[in-house]
This record gives sequence, structure tokens and C-alpha cells, in this order.
Amino acid sequence: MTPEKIADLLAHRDGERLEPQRAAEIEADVERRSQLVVLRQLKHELNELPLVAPPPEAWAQIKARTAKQPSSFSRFTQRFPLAMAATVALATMLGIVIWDPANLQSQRPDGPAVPVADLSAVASGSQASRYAALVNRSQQLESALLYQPEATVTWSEDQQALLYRIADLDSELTAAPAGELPSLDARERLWEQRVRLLESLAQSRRVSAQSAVF
Amino acid sequence: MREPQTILVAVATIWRSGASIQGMASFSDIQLDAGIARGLKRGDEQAQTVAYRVLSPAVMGMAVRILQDHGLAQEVVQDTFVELIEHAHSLKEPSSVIGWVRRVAVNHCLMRLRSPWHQRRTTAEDDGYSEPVDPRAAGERNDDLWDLEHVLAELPADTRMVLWLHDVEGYTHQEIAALAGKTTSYSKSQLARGYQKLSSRYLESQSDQDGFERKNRTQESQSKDRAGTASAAGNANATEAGLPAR
Repeated sequence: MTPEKIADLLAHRDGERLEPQRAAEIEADVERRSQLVVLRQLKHELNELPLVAPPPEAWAQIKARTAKQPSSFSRFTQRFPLAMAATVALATMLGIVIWDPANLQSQRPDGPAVPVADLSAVASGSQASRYAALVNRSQQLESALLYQPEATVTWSEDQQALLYRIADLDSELTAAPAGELPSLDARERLWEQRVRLLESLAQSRRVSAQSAVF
Repeated sequence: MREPQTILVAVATIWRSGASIQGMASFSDIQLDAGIARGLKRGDEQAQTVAYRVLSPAVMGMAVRILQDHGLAQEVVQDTFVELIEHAHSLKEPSSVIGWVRRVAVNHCLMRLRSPWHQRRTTAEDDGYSEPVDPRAAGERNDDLWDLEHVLAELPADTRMVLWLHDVEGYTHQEIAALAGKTTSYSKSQLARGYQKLSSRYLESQSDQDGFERKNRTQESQSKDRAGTASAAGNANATEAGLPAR
């Protein structure tokens, strides 16, 4: 049986409106009526499939995830409290605005919620402040990518390649055993690459979404 | 303030860790007491535990059937309940908990289906590198009979997703199209393709079963004939030897 004929039978089975002639054909044809019985039987069997309980440890993992834990940014601030204090003071003094929410809002009508930031703006700060800004910027871009309306648009091969490169960077950032993290310089370079890749990805997704609309 | 009586009612809902629960695949078969929903909204830990026990088998069942990967299905369960716990306070209508959980779980399944990692894996599956996942224990399977679970696992991921959402979860073609970012025709054609495969395998299994039963009947009648002949021959021999017939 062709998918077209099955589509007709499914529409008939589910009570959708069919052209009277097609509905009459189904009713008059013994073979198709028996196929209809099979389709009803299969739907019934699908609905009778058993539920599947997750493994016993799953709930403990959920509870561990929902327990109040400091974010990676706040872990950073705990590790470098003086650096953070200096960063905040410097940022206040210089009035550096890394990301302006209004900027995000103003872009809404034309495109996705990708905040625009210039990395050179943070280059003037100390190394710790640059590092914090990169982490922060990376988180913003990632959130923006996750919640963009174009998230439903298919990922192109180039975009997938970018995702793989980001995943590789992530494994470099997390691969070192605890207490043996790469130097701050090395991490800063990795975060800088991550931000640039995320920016390319966001830009690419924006273009994909626009071409999908038109 | 907890509401112990409602919690106990929900706890009484069938729950056997590690086991499958027969005969109810969909979220629409589940009921969650309003007291549990209110407890979730307040952040009550006992209500969270009960909601998890009542709803997680449906989430896991749906995710396993759509994704055909136990690891990913567990991730979907975790992500869904983490979201529920973190956002339950913002639920406006306590009665909407089940619908909310289903919607979030479906979105997590879709995110994983769309991810490049999953697509790469399913391409490998299509090339025959991977076995389909079966949520049942080994003893529950019977390779000779009609096995819906197994045929479902052989369908392409998108087809499986449409089939499950439409026929088990009751989504309309319009809703599926909106979720998948495709047209309603796409949803209808995926459903038809899915049923084309399912029904052809089902009919094959029926004819195999008929053939098997015919063969059994023939063998039975042949062995009866042989037994009858042997018995008659035995009786004749016994009479000849002057012994009583059996």
C-alpha cells in the first residue's frame, strides 16, 4: 500500500474530513476496510506499550543538580575575590558596558537576541577582568543561542562544525584533573576562542533564520 | 504545609523501580493530585518526589521510544524534572503540571533529535552499526512473534517522533508541524510512512504466525495418524500374541 493510500486511511481512522468520494471508496473496498482495522489495531497497541521507569539513581542525580550550587562565574569570584573586587571597581570607573540589555531588545524586530559586544572593550582591563568578561560573554551568547526563535531551523554543516569545535574547546577546558587547571593565560585563550566561535555561530544562525523567513 | 493524604494517594500509584508498567503509554493516562501540584509550587520536597515517581515513567517511556537511546532518555528525564523543580513556583494553574512536563519533555527530545551529535549517531545506525534499543528486559522479548517495540525502533527518528506524538500523545498535525518547524503535510507523510512500515511488518508476522500454526496443526495430525497406526498395529500384534489389547 502506498503512503498516500495509508494517509487517506489514517485520516479516515482519525475522523478527519475526507472528500466524500474517497471516504465512500474506503467503505466500499473490503481490502481497504481490513487495512483500516490493522491501523486501528496498531494504534491501540502503541497506546498499550508499557511505561518505562528510569534507573533508581536518576532521582538522586536530579536532586544533586537542583541543590543550590554556585555557578561557574561565582566559583571564579570565590577563587579570585581580590581580582573580582578590582574588576568591579575598574568597570565602574571606566563605565565599561560589556552587554547592554537594551541592545538586545532593540534587535528583536529584525533578528535574534544576540547581544553584540566588542572584545576589544575588555582588553583594557586586567587579565582577571578580561577572563571574567570572556566567561560572562560566553554564557550570554550561549543563552541567547539556546533561546533564539530560530532554534527550530536546521543546523547546517558549517554550524555543526562550529559546534564540534566548541565541544573540543570545552573538553580542553575541563579535561585537566582538579587542581591542575591550565594557566590563566591558556584558559583565557581558550575562552577567547570559545567566544569567537559562539559569535560566528550566532551570526550564522541569524542568517539561516532570515533566509528561512524569506 | 504538606497534605499527607493526597501524597499517599499519589504514592499508591503503581511504581516499581526498574520495571515497566503495563498498558499505559501516554501522559493522558496519568493523574496527579491537585495537592501535589500545589506542593510543587511551594517547593515541597515530598511533593517533588511524588511527582517524579508518578510522571517519570511516562517521560522515560516517551523519550526511549522517540530517541531509542537509554542514556539520552535519562538525560531528558533529568532535564525535565530539574526544570520542573526550578520553575514550578511560576506555574499559574496547578492542574497544568502534567501538560507542562509533557511539553518540556517533548522539547528536550526534539533538541536531542536535532543535535548534530544525535544526527551523526543515527546516520551510523542507518549504516547498520548500531542495534535498536529495547526498553524491556531480555526475558520479556520473543523474537519469533510480532514485536511492535522492535519495529518502532527500526523507523527513522523523525517518523518515530511524529508517530508517537500523534497517536500516543494526541498531538495534532498542526502542533507537530509547529514543534518540528515543518509543514502539516510533512507530519502527515511521516505518519503514513511510519504506518506503512508498521502495517507491512504486522501483516508479515500474521502470515508467519498463520503458517506456523498451520505447520503445527499438520505436524500434530501427522503424529496423531502415526500414533493411531502404531496403536492399531500394536493391538493387532498383542491379539496375535494372545495379550489383551491396550
